[in-house]
Amino acid sequence: MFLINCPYCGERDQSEFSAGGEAHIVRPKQPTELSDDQWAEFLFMRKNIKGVQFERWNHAHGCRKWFNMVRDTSNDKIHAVYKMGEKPPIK
Amino acid sequence: MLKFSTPISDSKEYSEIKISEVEPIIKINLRGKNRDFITKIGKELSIILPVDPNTSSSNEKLNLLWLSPDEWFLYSNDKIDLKDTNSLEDKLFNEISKVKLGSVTNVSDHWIMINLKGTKVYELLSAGCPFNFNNFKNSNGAVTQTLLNHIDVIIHNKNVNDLNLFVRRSFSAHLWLWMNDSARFI
Amino acid sequence: MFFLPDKSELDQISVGSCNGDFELEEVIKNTANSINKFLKVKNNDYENLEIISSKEIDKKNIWLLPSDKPLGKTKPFLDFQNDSTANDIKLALREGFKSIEHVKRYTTTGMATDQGKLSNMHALGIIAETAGVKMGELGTTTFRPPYTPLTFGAIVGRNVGEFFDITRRTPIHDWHVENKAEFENVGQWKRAWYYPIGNENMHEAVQRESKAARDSAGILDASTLGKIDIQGSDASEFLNRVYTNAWSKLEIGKCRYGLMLNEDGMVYDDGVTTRLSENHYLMTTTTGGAANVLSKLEDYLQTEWPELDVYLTSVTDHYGTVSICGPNSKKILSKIIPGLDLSDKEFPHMSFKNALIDNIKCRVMRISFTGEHSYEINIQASYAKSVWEKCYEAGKEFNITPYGTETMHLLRAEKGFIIAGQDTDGTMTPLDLQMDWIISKKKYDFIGKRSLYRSDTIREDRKQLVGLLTEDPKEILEEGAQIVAETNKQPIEMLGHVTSSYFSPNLNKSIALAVIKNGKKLKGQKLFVPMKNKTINVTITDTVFLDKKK
Repeated sequence: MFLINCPYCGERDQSEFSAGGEAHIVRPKQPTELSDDQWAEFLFMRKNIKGVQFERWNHAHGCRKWFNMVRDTSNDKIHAVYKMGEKPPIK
Repeated sequence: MLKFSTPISDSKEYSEIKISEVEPIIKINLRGKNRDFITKIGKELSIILPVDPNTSSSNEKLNLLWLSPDEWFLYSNDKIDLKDTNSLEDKLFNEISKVKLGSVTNVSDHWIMINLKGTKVYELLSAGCPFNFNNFKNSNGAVTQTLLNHIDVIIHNKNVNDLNLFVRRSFSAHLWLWMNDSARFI
Repeated sequence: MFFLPDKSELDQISVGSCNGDFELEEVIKNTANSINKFLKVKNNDYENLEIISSKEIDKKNIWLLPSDKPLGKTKPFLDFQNDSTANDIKLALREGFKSIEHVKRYTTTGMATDQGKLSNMHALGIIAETAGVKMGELGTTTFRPPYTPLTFGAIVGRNVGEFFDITRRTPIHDWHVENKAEFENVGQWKRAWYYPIGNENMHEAVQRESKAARDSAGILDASTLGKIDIQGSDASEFLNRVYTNAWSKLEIGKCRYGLMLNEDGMVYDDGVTTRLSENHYLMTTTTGGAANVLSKLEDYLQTEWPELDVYLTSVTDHYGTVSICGPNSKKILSKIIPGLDLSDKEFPHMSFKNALIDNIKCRVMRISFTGEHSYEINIQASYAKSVWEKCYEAGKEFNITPYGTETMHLLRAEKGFIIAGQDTDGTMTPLDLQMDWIISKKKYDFIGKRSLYRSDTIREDRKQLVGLLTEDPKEILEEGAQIVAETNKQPIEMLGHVTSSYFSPNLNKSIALAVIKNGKKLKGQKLFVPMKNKTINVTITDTVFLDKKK
């Protein structure tokens, strides 16, 4: 269990949130023009890193807003949270 | 005439805790993003729309709760006639939704309002909430959305030791029983 | 022997015995050093401490207690749950198993519910001693929960009874209880399953309810369906993007059935959406899918399509839904709402009307999940029970029969309507369901569109939804039963399975829906359903069994 600093509501317990997988995977604007391989790249390919990962989270039982989070998957240390559409504050 | 029925319609008292269902009051969900929406709401309701997270603003009749950067929850203090609910809903819908400023949705029966009073109400909530009430309990008008016994709730800290809790109607009977059960142990 | 922390994942240090220091002098000295280093301070308080006694302890590991009997004659138990012994470990080593993972699987040491919390260290010790290697070099098996001991406090507690699991009730719940309904759990919801009269069993009750709904009138509590209020100037465009069919031209006051896919092209949810006004829709979802659909739609609005002016609000609990169906439903509704013109011209199938019941606003949809003429009355939840009672009272002269979810499932199966989640399982595309008609050819994009022509989804031998009739019309198939083409050649190839199965009182025969490899092309084909004691002969048919023109 850990605390997450929702960019809208402030610090809340993890149980109020749900995880939404890897961040910064943009849905292609013109899916019909992609080959099977290109579409599969968007649809299936995820990094699933052990270490620092950029993730999408949703404050599901609070403000219901999606945001991004940089989390070390090996120890749950949260390095940053930032709103959708914003650039990651760290690399 | 159709009969009005609610899932709880009860009031219970324990040491330092009193819980009761309050019905029927207006509840309206408001959503919008731009400035015009915010101004229009303020004008129509004579309340300033709270833009700071986890806060609310009130006048003698109505309360406006911040839910998210583009969502607010409006409810009345007193029991209110269905006719008045309809006319307030229609007025807001015409002024907001019809002119594409945002959305206005009547949720009067979606939520059940339970009033909790007494010095131990925060203890009761803490028995099933992951939320930290330390700062919340002393700030009048504070709002939070969280889980209580794994059920989504909105909590409005009207005054210290006097708060209103909103739970979805279908969960309310279960949560009511849970609250009564937990209150016995506090 | 102990585990020594190597590097710290977080900003932390280990001191004392947890860092391998067991003697007081050592503990005090090392702790002070590491704290000073960690906090970058100089604290000399410990330096002048006089330590009176810091006894050197003779540290020794005893992995296997010595015995005066030869090892083969003893039973030195190691894993108390799986009854493996030190002898088993030694045997494993003699037989050439070297890796700790292999020894574990060969002897089952550490594979019980404690996951080796009692036995793994001893096993490692014995292996190290026997094989003459250092324990640290052996490594460990993969750690699995429980990683840490569980307190008894976490397990022991009073019996919380009804609070063990959350229950959701519809606004008409009390009526169902009073009228002796049996309940079914659908997610967290308690739904009326069937209403037995006297000594009726479930089959008898469902047969009676199903017949009544088609012959005269039935009444169903449909309040659990998810309902989402959609407003905003881009509402139509939004629906175009989330459903497979087209929405822009839906007239105000009309309803349309929609199918929602995942981005992988598989059916996710379905329901009827009504256009209430120019920029205002009411979407319904399946009972179980309501929360997930809302969350998924919010996700797309917030992250992929922030440019759309659309707002979603859940109104699932605000409305109670009373569904009346059957050839007499029109007469019953005209008694409830006398002023409403119910003619087909004014109020056709797949349309809605605003109305008043005793001055309370409601919405009446003429939509049908049973194939019968039917209406759904949506009214704010506080009045739903009263409306239900009013309908029941008005329907008495037509023998209106309350029916539950089981009868609802049977009636829709007679018409070949799918239930998302029962006839679909996350691997079915709309084409697999033979619902090609619902995919818009004109729309440039919608969620899942591109996936409908991936090499895998255009395969012709995918499992497809078909109807099944048994050779003996009295024989009812079991849901989940496997379907094969021949029974004497081993191994038997499984072609698919039964997804829905009922005895239809309206057709007086058993009917079933199934997913079968290449099923679309196998219409008329005879197949087999092998059961424990017999093999049932079946024929592939169309999915629509009952086709009364309504």
